[in-house]
Amino acid sequence: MRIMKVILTLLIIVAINSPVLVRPEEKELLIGLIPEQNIFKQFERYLPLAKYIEKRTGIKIRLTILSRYGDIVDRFTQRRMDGAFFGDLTGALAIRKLSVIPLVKPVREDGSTSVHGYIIVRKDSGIRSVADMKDKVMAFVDRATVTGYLFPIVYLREHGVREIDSFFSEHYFSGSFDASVYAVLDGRADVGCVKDSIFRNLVKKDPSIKDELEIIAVSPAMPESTLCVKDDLPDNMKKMLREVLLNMNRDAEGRKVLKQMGLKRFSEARQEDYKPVFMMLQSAGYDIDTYHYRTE
Amino acid sequence: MFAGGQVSIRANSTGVILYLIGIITAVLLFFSSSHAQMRIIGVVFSENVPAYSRINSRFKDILKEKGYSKRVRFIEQHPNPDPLAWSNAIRKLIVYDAEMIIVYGSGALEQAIFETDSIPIVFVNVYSPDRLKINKRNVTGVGYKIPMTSLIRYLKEMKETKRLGILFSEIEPDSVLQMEDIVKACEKFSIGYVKMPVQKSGQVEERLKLFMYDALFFTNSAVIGKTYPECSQIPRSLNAPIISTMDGYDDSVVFSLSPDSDAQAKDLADIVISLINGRKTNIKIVRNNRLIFNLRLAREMQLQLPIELISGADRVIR
Repeated sequence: MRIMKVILTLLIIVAINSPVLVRPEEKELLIGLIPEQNIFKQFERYLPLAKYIEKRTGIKIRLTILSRYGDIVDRFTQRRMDGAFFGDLTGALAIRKLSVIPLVKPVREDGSTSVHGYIIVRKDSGIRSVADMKDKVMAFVDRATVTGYLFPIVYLREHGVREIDSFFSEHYFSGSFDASVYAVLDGRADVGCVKDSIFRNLVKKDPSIKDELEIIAVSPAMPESTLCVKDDLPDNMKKMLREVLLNMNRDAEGRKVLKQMGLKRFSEARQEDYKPVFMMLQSAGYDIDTYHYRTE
Repeated sequence: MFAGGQVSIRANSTGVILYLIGIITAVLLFFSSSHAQMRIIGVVFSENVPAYSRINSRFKDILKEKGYSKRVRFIEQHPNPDPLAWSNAIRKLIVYDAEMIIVYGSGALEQAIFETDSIPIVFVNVYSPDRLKINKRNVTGVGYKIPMTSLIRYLKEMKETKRLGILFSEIEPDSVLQMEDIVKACEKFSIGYVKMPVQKSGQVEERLKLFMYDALFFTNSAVIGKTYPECSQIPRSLNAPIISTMDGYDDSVVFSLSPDSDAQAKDLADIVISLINGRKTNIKIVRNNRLIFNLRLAREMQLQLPIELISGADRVIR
């Protein structure tokens, strides 16, 4: 009987201190977004999802958007974020540096859960190969992206370009994928890069874009927009978030939000999803611990 | 001793004279050789076009930086933008023994080609020169390309446009090309348009008053550039946003997509230096376009503010 009392007391003490007993409604979550498209569009895209989660879980969701990709790694702890929809490279960096765990990833309407990066040029530019890009202007997106920087760098290296400073007459970081597309469309840059999901959205809105641009290289599949949360977030909260997001395609309201986002559903995300990112870093000769991901 | 002294003085005088002759000869030889190296370059541009002045100034700076400023002498002509004045300016340069003639814009280029087929002609700020059928061996230069669809794409985001007024110069071949390309873009995006041709600067005001339009595009043109600033209040009074491929009219143009002046100046300097050194050069096409968005004006005109313009423009006027 005494042993039972001790066990019960211990269980109560453990239970009181356990995060499992944290009531979700007492907490609000700050979720970070990366500027994969211009920040207004990006905020607009995720706001209905935040409202949906709030309604289903009772957890208040606040969204914060970073002006640069690399900022999400730097500011995650500083701004006390609880999670973020990370991109390809930012996700890998966050898993390594911030002790976050991948929770869910989006499944697009065509069933795909990953993205490909494109290297694009204007069809009338006369650029058909890496050799034609010599002394031209290149618009990367951000150093903290695979599809918007690392993949083009690896692709150029595979085609003999070691020093981009001397190869291009100018190269710069546009800050978002759509800005890179518009720079090429306008002739403000000769070569750009974009991930397929953003490219498709732009073409859907304005089909003429496809008539004017040529895709000259496609990257291997990369993870995208994966919701990763702090590892020390209460277990019940992680579980609740995961469940709500994984099942949102089963109710009409959830399906409506997913449709607005151009998604079919969410599926479970794993650390292994980031394997292609680590492989790409390796191909480029970078070490993730020392990789300079900040875009000045 | 005295006599010896006289001989000595005479010998000294001869030496001094010979010495002076030597110096004078050396100086004359120096100046004559410098003069022989000095190249006369004629330049023709209409002063009222801001881009021309900017390119020309930067071009001269580059030549100076590269040590060519003492090897060339510029004779500039700033004619009225009309065929007769362009021709006269080029003839004057031929009389001045210009060894090379730089012409800004396709109107002056056309007259230069007509006036000489022996003096090297270098054009600057000409749209799509590959389509102008310049088959002369003495002609090279710096051209540019602007995707006209980009202009229409941004315009559509700003205002639902029913009829775009297209102001262009019939006497400048590349202005006509721009008109043709913007017409194609309008048709692609299902926007109505009205062509507003001018042949003289004095016609700009009349055309702006005569036609009906709810947005206005004016091409890069010396003819239009001369008088447009005085008439810009006309489309403004109709609340018609103005877009252009000409930069330098920031007060009245809502946005412009134009070739970068510095890049044109750099390519021009490369071509001129090559020609000075007896090397042949091909026509260069500048692709570094610049997007300038007048956010302040767009707000005043209560237009939609496309995020692509705010976030993507090289310069936003606030």
